[in-house]
Amino acid sequence: MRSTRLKTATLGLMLAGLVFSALPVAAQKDYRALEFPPLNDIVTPTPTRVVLDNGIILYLVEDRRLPMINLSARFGVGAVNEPADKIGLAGITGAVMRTGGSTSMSGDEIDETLEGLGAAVETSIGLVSGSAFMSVLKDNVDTVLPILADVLMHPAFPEDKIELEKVTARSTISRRNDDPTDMAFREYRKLIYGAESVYARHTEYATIDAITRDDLVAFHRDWMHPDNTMFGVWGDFDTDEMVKKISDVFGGWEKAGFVRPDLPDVDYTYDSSVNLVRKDDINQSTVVLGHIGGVRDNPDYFALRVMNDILSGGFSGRLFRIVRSEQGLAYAVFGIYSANYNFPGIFYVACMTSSETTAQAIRSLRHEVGRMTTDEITEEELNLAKESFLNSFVFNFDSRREIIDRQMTYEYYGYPQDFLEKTKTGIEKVTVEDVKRVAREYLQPDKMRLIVVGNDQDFDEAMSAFGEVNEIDVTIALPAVEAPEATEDDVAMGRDLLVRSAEALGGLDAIAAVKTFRETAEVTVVRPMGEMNITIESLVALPDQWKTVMQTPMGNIDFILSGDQGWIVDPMGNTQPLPTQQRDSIIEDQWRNPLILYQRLDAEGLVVQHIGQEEVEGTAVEALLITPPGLNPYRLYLDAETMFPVKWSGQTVSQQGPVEAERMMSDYREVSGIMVPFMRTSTENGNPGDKTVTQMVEINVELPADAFAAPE
Amino acid sequence: MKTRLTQLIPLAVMVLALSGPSGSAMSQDLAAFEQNVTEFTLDNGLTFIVVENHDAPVLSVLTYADVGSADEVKGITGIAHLFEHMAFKGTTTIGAMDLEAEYAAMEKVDEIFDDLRNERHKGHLADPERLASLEQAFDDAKTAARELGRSNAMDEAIDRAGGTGLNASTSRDATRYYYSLPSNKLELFFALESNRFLEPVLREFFIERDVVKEERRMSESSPVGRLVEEMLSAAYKAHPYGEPIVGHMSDIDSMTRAEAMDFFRRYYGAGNLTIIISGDADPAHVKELAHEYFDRLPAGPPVEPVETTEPPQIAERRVTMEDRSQPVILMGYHKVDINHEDDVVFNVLSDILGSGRTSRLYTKLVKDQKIAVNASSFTDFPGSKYPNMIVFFAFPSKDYTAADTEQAIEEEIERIRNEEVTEEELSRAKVRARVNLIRGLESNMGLATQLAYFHVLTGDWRNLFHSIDAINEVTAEDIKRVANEYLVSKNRTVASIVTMDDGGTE
Repeated sequence: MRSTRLKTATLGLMLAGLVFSALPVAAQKDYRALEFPPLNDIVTPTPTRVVLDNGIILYLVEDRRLPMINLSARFGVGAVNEPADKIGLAGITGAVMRTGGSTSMSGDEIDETLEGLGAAVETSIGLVSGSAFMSVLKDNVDTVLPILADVLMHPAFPEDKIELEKVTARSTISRRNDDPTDMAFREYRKLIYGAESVYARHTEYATIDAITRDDLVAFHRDWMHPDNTMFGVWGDFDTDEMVKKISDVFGGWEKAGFVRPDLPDVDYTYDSSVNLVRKDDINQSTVVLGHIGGVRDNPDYFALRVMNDILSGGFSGRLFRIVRSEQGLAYAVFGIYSANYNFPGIFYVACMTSSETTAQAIRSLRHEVGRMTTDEITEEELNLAKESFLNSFVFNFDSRREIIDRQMTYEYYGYPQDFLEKTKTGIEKVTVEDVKRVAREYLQPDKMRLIVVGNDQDFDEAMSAFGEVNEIDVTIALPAVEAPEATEDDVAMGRDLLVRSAEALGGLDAIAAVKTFRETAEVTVVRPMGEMNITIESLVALPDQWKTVMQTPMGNIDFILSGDQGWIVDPMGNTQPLPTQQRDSIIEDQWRNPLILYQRLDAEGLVVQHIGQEEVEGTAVEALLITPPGLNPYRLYLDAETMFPVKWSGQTVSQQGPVEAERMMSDYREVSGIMVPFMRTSTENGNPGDKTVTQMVEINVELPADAFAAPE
Repeated sequence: MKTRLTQLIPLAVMVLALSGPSGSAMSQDLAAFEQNVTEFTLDNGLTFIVVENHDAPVLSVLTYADVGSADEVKGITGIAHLFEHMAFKGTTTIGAMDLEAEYAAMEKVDEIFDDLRNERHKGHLADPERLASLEQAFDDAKTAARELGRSNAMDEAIDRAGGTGLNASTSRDATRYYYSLPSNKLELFFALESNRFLEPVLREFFIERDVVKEERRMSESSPVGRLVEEMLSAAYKAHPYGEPIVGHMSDIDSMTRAEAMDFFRRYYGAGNLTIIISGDADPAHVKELAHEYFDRLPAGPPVEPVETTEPPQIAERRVTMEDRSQPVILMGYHKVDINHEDDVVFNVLSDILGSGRTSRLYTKLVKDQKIAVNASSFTDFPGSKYPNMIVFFAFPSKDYTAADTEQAIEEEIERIRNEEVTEEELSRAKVRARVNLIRGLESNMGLATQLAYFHVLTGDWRNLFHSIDAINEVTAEDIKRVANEYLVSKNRTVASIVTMDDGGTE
């Protein structure tokens, strides 16, 4: 019923229309002809700068309007300073300084105290600087300022709070492929700075696992010094008294003669590349393209800022006007030529667009960057950008925090204290010619790196239309599991046991003679809503061809792997490439299938070691550690009496990260002279997983000639 | 104009009250604050609230239209939000070049769209050639109409004047338009805003529809966005709070300019608008400008509230979304609207259970059991004008499931049903309510947003302060009673993401 209510609406509208037309509509002033009074004076307090004996730099502004005192701190430390094998250390240190409390007060006690007073103390360490914040009612400053001092100077770093941050960090890793825009920008930074660069690298399970309490203590000891610290304080206090209070509580913090090291350079070569992250559960692509950006101390910075505004500024920049308002290709379209204070920023243009308009949007974004360097920039556009900057200049002074943070920022990065005024003067002088010149000099529309996160099956054109496509595998890496040092005896014993097991299953020769097999099985899949039974048929042609047909209520789903290539065919007959992660997991799984393992005992790089006698569900077993070439190790357990493999366990990759998997094998029956387990049950992270009951196995049967062919 | 000093007193008084013994000081604070507030209503019903703050020569403006997506009916979901987008496209004077020609061109676009829509309605029987030629004609007509007007003239005028933070938002209850300006440009706001709601021209309507479709896809691309939409549609079987604000794709796809204009005329009468100006403004000057520019707006037809009432829920509802993303759990319990006396009890209850590092959920799930990276709660979801929900949620830690965290949350809810909260918890919640109020008042835009919300939904902006008094009255017994009445399983909708791994075949 589309318009029941709208019919009444139309009636109402007619009535309203009558009223409306009866009203005299006064002649209206043209909004373009309005004259405005001069702006009231901007009263800008100048912060007082004081350096304490131990080197702490203070900026203070008295502000008696509210009985509150606020402090914002900056420390010369960042994630750029953490070791490459412990990425995450800086962030965890920054968080646990506060959550873990100090040697005199636990983090939980601090929480209780602060929340009872409506006060806040927070600490953190970001990419290139660390920070702290305190906000407190004036009357409580003598309770809260010592807490801040204590957590900065004497953090306790208790194990349980470190573990809490590590749990959070691991969870963040496991969630990092959930949001396509996050994925796109994370990978884009790596494309621009390099995956190993301190400006782009990110945490992995292994780097989080490697972090210990000793690391936090050392990181704090090495970087947190009074002569690497600045405080900005504003609020209801007398400046001299506040300086004294701060000197008192931080007086015991000893100067270290600290010199902040320079940041590493960025080595960038302009070129173009086309990169794709496949994500098949979304209907919208995130498109980002661009190249390296600049540094703010460049004399061209002012002209670049105006250029940036013309291309990507808010609702009136070209990107918004054209890609969104004119072409309707995106809701979110944005870009920036970013200039950092002390290392090169990045330049990009980006949007989110439907899968079916992805190529069109790429062309449109690229066209707009190109047009900046070839077409006219109009006086109109220049004036709009300049007026917008100059008229909104007053907003730089409407909060004390902003004023004081800016002064600290300039000093921290070694910029003149009047850099904002210099920027204003600089922008006033920018001409159309300047903008054209910097656009031509700094934008390279033909040498941009492109990344798309999306469902490329539905794109309007194949990505290859833009160049050779590099598919980025975003599978979350498992922490590498190190196999224990193997003695010669362990290795010999391991080999011997495997050969004995192979004999028990029918003999090495019989196993080597297996070329194909076909299996039909009932799989019970455990789902949150209950269990579900699926029939699967698997066809295998050794060494590297494999196909499974899942018979689901919706129809058949085929998984095919042929050498390096793989496909999924859904019940509708649509074909998709097999995701890399899924292919790797099949390859890993094959190495864990005893029949296939025993065929490959001579494979180069395979390490087998005996690790002892254990029990599996009451049965004595021989435990082996198997490390297939290039893969993580797993444990294989052989029944000590029958030598049948009864279980394997080890980490495996899932779409969302590593899981600890186990598989039990039982109900061995003979098929063509070989013993085959007819029952397999699996668990993941200790939770019940699939149960597979074999219905029928045939060995060395003829398989259909096209079984492993690329689907139509 | 008031002197600087008088207007500085109230904030200070309010904060001082915080550090004193607990008790109601808000009425005094309000009396002081009121000196800086001027409220007046034009004959056409348009209300203005001016809050003076002369610290810096800047001000924030906010127009609150008392219409949201809850006012929509099936078939036109998303129209409130789409109109909000269209309200940026200019008017008969802003952005107009040759109005007569432009209107003719827009009507042609409308006509072709009607033909196209009729052809599409035939489904499989549609004539592909006719479809293709209509689509081509549609594109051409859109381009032709676009050339005849400037859809970004209003954005540009605000940008040029130094405006910042220009934006708008549509919720289920309301549509808000806002930005900040250097205070000497106040008249520009009056010129633009009065025109915007007098004679809007819905330029590039069909292109903007495509933009909105992308906005919808953006939320579809987010696992939590998908989950929330599913949760609401399960929680509300009658009331329009169950519909997505952005609308259903097919509704957006079939919407016409005439429908959007009908919606505008029905809901954007002056009597349905409230304007807040907060910052360096002189109320007498504002009043003059208000008469000069806004007297001409028609009052508009009377607007009726949504008559559909969500019936009491009699059975728990569950939404389990198997998704290739990490687990999330949302547990929503139906509760009362903003004007019910129990509403404020939910604010305190939610604060104790789910706000900050000392809250019960954070302490149990995050700090102690480490089964979640975040556990929290919020109220007034998905709106506050009509009966709504209190929601508890958690993001489970790696290797934990939604079910693990659900159980822990349920234990805490059971505890709050069975035992009274401690005095310490209660007083912490009250202190926080006051501090949050103060912090919200620090910025011009924060103030404008809060005052508009209370004024329109409760009938008086002063209720912003009275609500703190009401919070101070809440007792441990109230919390227990409310928990037992509302936080029961038959009254809830539990929505979760269960991580599905598609690599699970052997």
